[in-house]
Amino acid sequence: MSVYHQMGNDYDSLLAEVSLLRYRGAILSPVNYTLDATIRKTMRHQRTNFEVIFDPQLYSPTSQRGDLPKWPHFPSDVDTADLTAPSWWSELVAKIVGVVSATGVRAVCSPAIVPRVYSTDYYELNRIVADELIAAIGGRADVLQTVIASMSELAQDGRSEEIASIVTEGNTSRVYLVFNSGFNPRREFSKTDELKGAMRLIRTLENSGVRVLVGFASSDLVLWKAAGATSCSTGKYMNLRRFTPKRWEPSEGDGGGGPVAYWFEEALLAFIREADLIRIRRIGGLSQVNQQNPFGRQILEIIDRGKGERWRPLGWRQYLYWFADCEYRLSTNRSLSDQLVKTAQQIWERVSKEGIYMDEPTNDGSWLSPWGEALG
Amino acid sequence: MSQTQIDLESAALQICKQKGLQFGELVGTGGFKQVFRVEDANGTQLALKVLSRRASSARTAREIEALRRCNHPNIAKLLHIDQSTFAGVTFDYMLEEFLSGGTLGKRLQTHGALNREEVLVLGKPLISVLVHLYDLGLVHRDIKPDNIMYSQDGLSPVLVDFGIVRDLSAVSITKTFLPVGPGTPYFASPEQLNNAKGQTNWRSDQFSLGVMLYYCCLGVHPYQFPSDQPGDDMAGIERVVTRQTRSIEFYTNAKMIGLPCLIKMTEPWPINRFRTPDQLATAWAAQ
Repeated sequence: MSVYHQMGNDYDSLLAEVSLLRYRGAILSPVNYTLDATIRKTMRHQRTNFEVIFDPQLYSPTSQRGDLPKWPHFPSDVDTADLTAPSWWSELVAKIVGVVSATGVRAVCSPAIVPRVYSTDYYELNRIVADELIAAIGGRADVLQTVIASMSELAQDGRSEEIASIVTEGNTSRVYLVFNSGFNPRREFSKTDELKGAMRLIRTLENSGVRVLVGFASSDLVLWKAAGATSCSTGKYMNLRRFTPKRWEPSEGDGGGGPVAYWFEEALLAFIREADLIRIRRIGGLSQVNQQNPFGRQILEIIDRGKGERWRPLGWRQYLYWFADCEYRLSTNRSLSDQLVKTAQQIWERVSKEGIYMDEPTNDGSWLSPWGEALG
Repeated sequence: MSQTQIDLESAALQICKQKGLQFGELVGTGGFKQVFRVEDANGTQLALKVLSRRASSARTAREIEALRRCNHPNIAKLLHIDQSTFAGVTFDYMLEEFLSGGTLGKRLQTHGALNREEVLVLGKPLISVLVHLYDLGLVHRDIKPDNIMYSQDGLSPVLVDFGIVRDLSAVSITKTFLPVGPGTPYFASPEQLNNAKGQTNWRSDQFSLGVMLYYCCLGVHPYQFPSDQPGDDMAGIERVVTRQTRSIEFYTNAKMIGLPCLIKMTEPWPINRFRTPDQLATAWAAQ
């Protein structure tokens, strides 16, 4: 039962944040820093009970790769090589072992690509690569098998069980699970069958003794925890859902998600902007937990001062604090997920009755009905 | 008597002559082989297995390799392998320890179903066999009453016939385009029946063992429904192929007889079975 930071650009300062000490570790993405910068900025935070996990992302097929090509493990032929050849993966595994030694990370995810087709062969190859990494690491670091699953495939009857069966054929004891979908960045998953399939995948893996860390999680934490996920990771809300057709919204382009500040509201299970926050607060729609959130209190004080001060970095922290706090409560209360979704549906109804329209037109709570069905 | 049988028996007689063995009798016939009881100069009884020339040489090689690697009291011991040419045709043959106690299948026919205690006793060494095979990366793929033999004392079950053994570290012999993988359909796992090679591992043997042990106890397949026509095995097999649910009666029976492990062992998806043989052994002993 734990939460991890999903590290992104300019993230290292958040690792030292005292109010975020509930985080059990950090998943290191090599996109944003070089190897040297990573060691300098991140590894100093690795301490007792804080696990840094290296995710040797390949970002194949093409996507923005940042500093990734500068890393010693990153294969220069990733776009042209035969990625079905076991020898190519063996070479990569050897290089990843080198990075693990150089950085001193305590855990590493197995390498994986985002495939065109999520075939059985694809999962089998990933399992073989993970087993090879486990053997090569030899206990010097924990290995998490990366499982990238297509949400639309998980909607198919029996597909979750089939994938889970393949994943558990080898020596894996931990899985790093990433859901891929056609949803836009930071939008909530909202297809009931897909969510049920995703939850079934988590549940079957956990029931077989495999600990699942759901990567790139967000407010959907409430679903993954209800399915029994041991851990979830999240980052600054602008970094979420990399595995989408568009990594960033077209209008942003600065790699950081634009200058807009967001508040995460548990009572709505939604990210809302400042104007929405003021309106929801006015009708008494904010949750108690968020009003007790230390960063939430600071944001409300800023708003109350009325000087137009910017609070985007506080917004990240308010969300990250909520995420860890909520995970803790979900871990100790099995029925909380259901309660949170039902409460949020009621508050959204109230918002609608009050005639409040959110700054973002798509921010309407419409995902909560599928969430409720998936939980049911 | 078929042409194959004549050929193999004649070949067996010649092998006995060449090796100084005394020919006994035909004791078993498989798809591509026949097994004869023979006796060596010391009076020790042996099983002479002569393979038909139609047998796949790749499968034969894999069977021999698997048996060479195995070293377990409940797995048939391979003593000698060789080839012999008879009438211009070369036959592979193996000499194994002879198990005079007959097969479990024969026992069930003669004495009827086993009780709970007998199933518990039978299951323990066979699970130990699965632990051994798992350590070697082998999947037997044909666990069934006819492939469980008893030694002379009549107490120790021995797993025989590694003719379709799968070595997980070797390239698969079964082609993926085939609709069904090798195995005896009644006892085969869904992944074998669907030729899902990537999922065929020790958990497939676990499924077959679970089906066999339930069959030993109640004389029916776990996926059989009371409403099925008597003797209609296909209905149960079809449910296995399509990974359907089992009957309420199955769950009730498994719990009532005090063998709840059978429920998990015969789950349609491998993920829902015991993940490792050690976990199965522990759960089996705790029943």
